[in-house]
Amino acid sequence: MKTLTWRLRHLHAFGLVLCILLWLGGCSGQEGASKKSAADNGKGGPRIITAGPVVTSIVLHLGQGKALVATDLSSRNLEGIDTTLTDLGYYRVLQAEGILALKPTLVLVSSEAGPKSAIEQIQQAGVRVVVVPDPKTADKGPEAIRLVAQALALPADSLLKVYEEAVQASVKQPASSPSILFCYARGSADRLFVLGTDSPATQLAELSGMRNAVTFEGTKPMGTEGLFATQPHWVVLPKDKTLGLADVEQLKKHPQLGQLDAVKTGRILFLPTVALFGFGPETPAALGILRNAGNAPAK
Amino acid sequence: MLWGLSSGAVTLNPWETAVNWLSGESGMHTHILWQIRLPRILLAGMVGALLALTGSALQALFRNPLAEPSLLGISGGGSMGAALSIVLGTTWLGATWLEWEIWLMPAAAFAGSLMCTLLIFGMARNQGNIGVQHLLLAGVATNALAGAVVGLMLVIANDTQARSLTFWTLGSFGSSSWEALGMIALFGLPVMCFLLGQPRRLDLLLLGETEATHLGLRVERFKKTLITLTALSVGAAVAFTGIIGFIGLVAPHVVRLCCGPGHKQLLPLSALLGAILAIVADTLARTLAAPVEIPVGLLLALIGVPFFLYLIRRSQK
Repeated sequence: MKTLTWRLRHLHAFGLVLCILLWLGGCSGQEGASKKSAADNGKGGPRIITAGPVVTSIVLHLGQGKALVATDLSSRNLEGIDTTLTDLGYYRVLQAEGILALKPTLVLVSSEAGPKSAIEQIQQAGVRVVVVPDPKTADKGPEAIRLVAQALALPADSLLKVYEEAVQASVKQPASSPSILFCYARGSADRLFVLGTDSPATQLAELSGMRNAVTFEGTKPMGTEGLFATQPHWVVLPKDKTLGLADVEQLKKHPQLGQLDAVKTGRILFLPTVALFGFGPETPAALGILRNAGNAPAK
Repeated sequence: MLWGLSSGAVTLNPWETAVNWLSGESGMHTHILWQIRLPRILLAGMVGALLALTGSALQALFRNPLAEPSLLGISGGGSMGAALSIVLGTTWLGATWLEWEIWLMPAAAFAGSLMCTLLIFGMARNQGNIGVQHLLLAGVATNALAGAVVGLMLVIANDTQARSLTFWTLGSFGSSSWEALGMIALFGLPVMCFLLGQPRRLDLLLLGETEATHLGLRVERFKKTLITLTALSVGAAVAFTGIIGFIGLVAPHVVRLCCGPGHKQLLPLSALLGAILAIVADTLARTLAAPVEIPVGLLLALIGVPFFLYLIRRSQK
């Protein structure tokens, strides 16, 4: 008898937990609904959703920031983005239903966004989806800009002109070109990763008459000694403030980067984060910063 | 299931939508219901039930309360396969990889889990017999090895690959589709039917191998069948969903605490509980932070572990 009451009690406890969870789920659904209706109010114009930083940055540069209703996590550090936009999370694990619930008229995604089944489900629900090949090399930039502009039915001429002028501007490759160390932190400021020779960042360096300080391919974590051995002329970091690496004084105290002469003498450059990982409208500005640095007299 | 069908980021009435669909109307709501929610809920339910069933069978086989499918190297091997394919696939195949990722990655994960199980199986085999102790030890060691390979892949992965890999190991029913459901059902359904028909043999195993042999059970053959079927079915499930831990361990225990250890009740009830747990956790994963999705493995652990600990604590008193 005792065991039976005991078991029944457990069943009750389990039932109670389930009920609380169901209630929680119900509440969150309603909350989502009320948020949506708030967003619906006001305009009947285009409702654009983007996933992938380069794609979002093109939409912003085409002046369509106000038509955005949601973007992915990586687009949230872009300059000029409305940070109150609905967040879709990481762009490789998008949720089809969550996106459909925002009633988009156009979904613009990078070719790296996923999972593929989610993208297909959005398409099958009758929403227009444009997949933009991720521009990892300078010659792919114009195609991405053109595709997004076409999807938005906007002229891309002025954006393309600025891009192509910046990329084609010839730069004298000095005999011993200055080297750049491209690094960023993942997770915490102490976990430094260095971009290798196959990264878009390396091509940025080459287009501005400089070279990557490392010779490996891929993105690799580097220890203090390895970093020290590179002794780059310049250290380039993303402009992203979230990891506490966007401040020169803090960098000088950084246990690894602080050892480098370039950091000690303040030869640090901050580039738009998106420009380090793909070619798009932020590329001209990044090239401008790098070329200025390349022309500066060596200290 | 009904709760799962009616909750989601889009507010819709499943009855109305179903009636509309029957009257030949098609729109976004019918699409969401039939193409997004239904396959996902069925997939979650089936995987949950499968994990719980194989978990109960393995706990009887090992006579160890800690046994669960991952012990056979299925999740370890699966993550190894997935890691190798995510990192090396994108590096070697580039765009072709992205196009076929939806099938190549599950295939690699499936191959990885089968390889690990075979390795463990081979290590534990001695003159045609499988020693349960050796199987346990080989399982733990092989999982550690697979973990190291995943770690190695993480070191050489770029940012995108590393994040994809991390999300894979957290598990999700997000990439479900009717095709994925079909693939899992192909392996899963026969195995589930087979296991549900074995309560007597599993009860015999609980007595000990020698006793079971004396009572007429061909222990070695049964053991091999159990392990092979578990590896095939859970391997297929894990390949599409990533690692969904915890159900295989906990669902059988909860049922045992409430209804006793007899497999006649234990098997169907743990399958039911496993399915319920998976569907509830997945529905919460879809809705709590919509449009962002919380990895379902995380939710299962966050919800289930405290409850399980409470049960253990109570059963000691």
